[in-house]
Amino acid sequence: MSGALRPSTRARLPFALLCCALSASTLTGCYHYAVAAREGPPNNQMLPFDRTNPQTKTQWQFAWGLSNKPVYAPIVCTNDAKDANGNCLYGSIDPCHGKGIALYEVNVPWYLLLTTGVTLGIVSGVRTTFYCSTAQGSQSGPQSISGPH
Amino acid sequence: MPLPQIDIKANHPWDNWHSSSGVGGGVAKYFIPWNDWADNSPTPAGKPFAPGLAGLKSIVQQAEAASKRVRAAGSGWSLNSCAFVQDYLVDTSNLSALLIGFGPAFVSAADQAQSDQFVFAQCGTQIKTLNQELAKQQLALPTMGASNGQTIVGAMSTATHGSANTIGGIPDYILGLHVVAEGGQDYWIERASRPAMSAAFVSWLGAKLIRDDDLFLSAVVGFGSFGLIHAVAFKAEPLYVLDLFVRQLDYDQVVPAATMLDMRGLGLPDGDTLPFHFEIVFNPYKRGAGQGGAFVRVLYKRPFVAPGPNPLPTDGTSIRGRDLVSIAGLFSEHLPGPLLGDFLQGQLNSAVQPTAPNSVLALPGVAFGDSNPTGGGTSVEIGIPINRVADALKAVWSVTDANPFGAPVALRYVKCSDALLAHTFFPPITCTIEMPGVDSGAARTAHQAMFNAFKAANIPHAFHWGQQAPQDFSTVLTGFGQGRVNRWLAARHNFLKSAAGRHMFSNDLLDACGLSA
Repeated sequence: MSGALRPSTRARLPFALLCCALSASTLTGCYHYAVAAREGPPNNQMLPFDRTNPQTKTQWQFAWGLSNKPVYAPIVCTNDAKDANGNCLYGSIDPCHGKGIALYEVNVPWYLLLTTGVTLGIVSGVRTTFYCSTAQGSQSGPQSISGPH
Repeated sequence: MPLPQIDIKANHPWDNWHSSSGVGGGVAKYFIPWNDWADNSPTPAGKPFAPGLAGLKSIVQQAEAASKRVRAAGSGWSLNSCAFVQDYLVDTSNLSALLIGFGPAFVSAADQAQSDQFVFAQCGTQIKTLNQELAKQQLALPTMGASNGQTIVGAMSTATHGSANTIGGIPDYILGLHVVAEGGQDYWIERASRPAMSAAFVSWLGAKLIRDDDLFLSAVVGFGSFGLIHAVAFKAEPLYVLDLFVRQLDYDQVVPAATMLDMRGLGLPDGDTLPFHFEIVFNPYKRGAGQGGAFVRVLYKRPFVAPGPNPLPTDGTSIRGRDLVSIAGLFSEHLPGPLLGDFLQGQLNSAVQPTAPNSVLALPGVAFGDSNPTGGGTSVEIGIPINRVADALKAVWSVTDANPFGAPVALRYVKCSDALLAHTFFPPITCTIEMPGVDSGAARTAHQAMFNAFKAANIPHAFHWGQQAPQDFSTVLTGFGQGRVNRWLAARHNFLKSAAGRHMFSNDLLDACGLSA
């Protein structure tokens, strides 16, 4: 059989390429790393966190890291409420409400990997995600009806 | 009162912890309430939960005004969409206030001598947080599930259990529920036959008191159908140590134990007495002599002696004693039959980790530790009467022999529950049969075949509300019996008096089961 594609195959090729492109675009990443914080004694288990509320940002570095801002520490508006000028209505707070980060992930999606390769490292990005700790500790319940609760 | 802090995300994607296929979806409004006031003013003394409670009330009122359905999700541990609703979904993760120990005046007269063991846990408190904070007070949960990331309310609401044949599951030690219902009104619900908290407690909480056995026994395994559960109360136990012993045996060697709880011949550390926790994990494809396809896992409760056992060091990447669903992602559905059995055996050796001839001492919060998301794991679990275990095993093997798929079969034995729709209601001890594995076409075909096989063999059975159910949801309620279902429905009608209120606290799963009206 010759190397030429049969008509039906030729017709299917764009569809196959489209499927491949769509599949690739849905991939979250090739390389994926995470670091989890632990609670203290006695159990030393990983800190509880809110997996359904990830804080994700793509961080860029340029010129092989010569121009970088490696630390990402956002502060957001309380209740996401802003006025017309973009100022916070109820003040501002860090996304973890002071509870800290329980899990930190670094992910390199295929398009960021490609960007780094094509630009020979001049433009490089990674996707970082952190999950807030939900630990709040404990305290004693009320002890006396008449006294302070 | 200041405004509570609530983050709101529109069109938010939600899935469960294991990203199981077909679970979750897009949420119109995703509410994330916090235990903080919007103006950062301090919370009332002794009530760290006050802003979160105000947040839940506000969310219910907003849902009511907009005629939307509303539901609370915990850690997303359920392997179906029972926690999910498309309209308003509440992320309770940050509502994790925890009060341990109350003055005698705040508990019932019968409990006053042990009031320091009473715990008030907000809905988003994870099991691992309870384990940690209770251990610091020399206390412990009476029992838990096989992992530690569930929230206490999520685990309770779906009748999550371990294998405690003298205690039952998590709902069986819960003594009271703090529920935000229609109009944002909050109620303290407990049994009339077993009051736990005093009028002084309810007054301090600011809720309306309802003491009603059927309402409590319905709402405690109510999978979000009675309102947003803000908190629960229970009595913790003095801290204990779990003594873990795991032994690998052949299938035939464990059949008497599996079917009759006859411990003879297992070579357990405490002889032939039934341990606190007794569990068998089978490899369905290694049932022959000399194949070691049965892993017997037992736990004994031992007195805690200070300083207690330390967690074993780890290289930072391995998780000891992980739950069985967590091995699911490692299976391949495409392995040929003989290799599948070998592969599964290797995974069970790693996950269940035989200890014999030794045993391992650990605090409860260490014995059942962390788990990793699998990216597609799933599971089915069925509760059956213990006198039908032999028939059930035959039905299971008939399915796994004809439809090989990468799932072990785990048997646990749980004291029967009073909760009306707990799948562990079969007296005196319910055997639960669980098949965790990767979600796939082969697995779903096998699950459905197993449901059909149980039906064909006329084995009474009920489904775990947090796991996969039959494709035909109308069959889900059959196993509980019409009497239990009617009592549950009546309790819900008496509590949520309006059709709009019952609609508000329903979702697709309730619709499919016929429970939402």
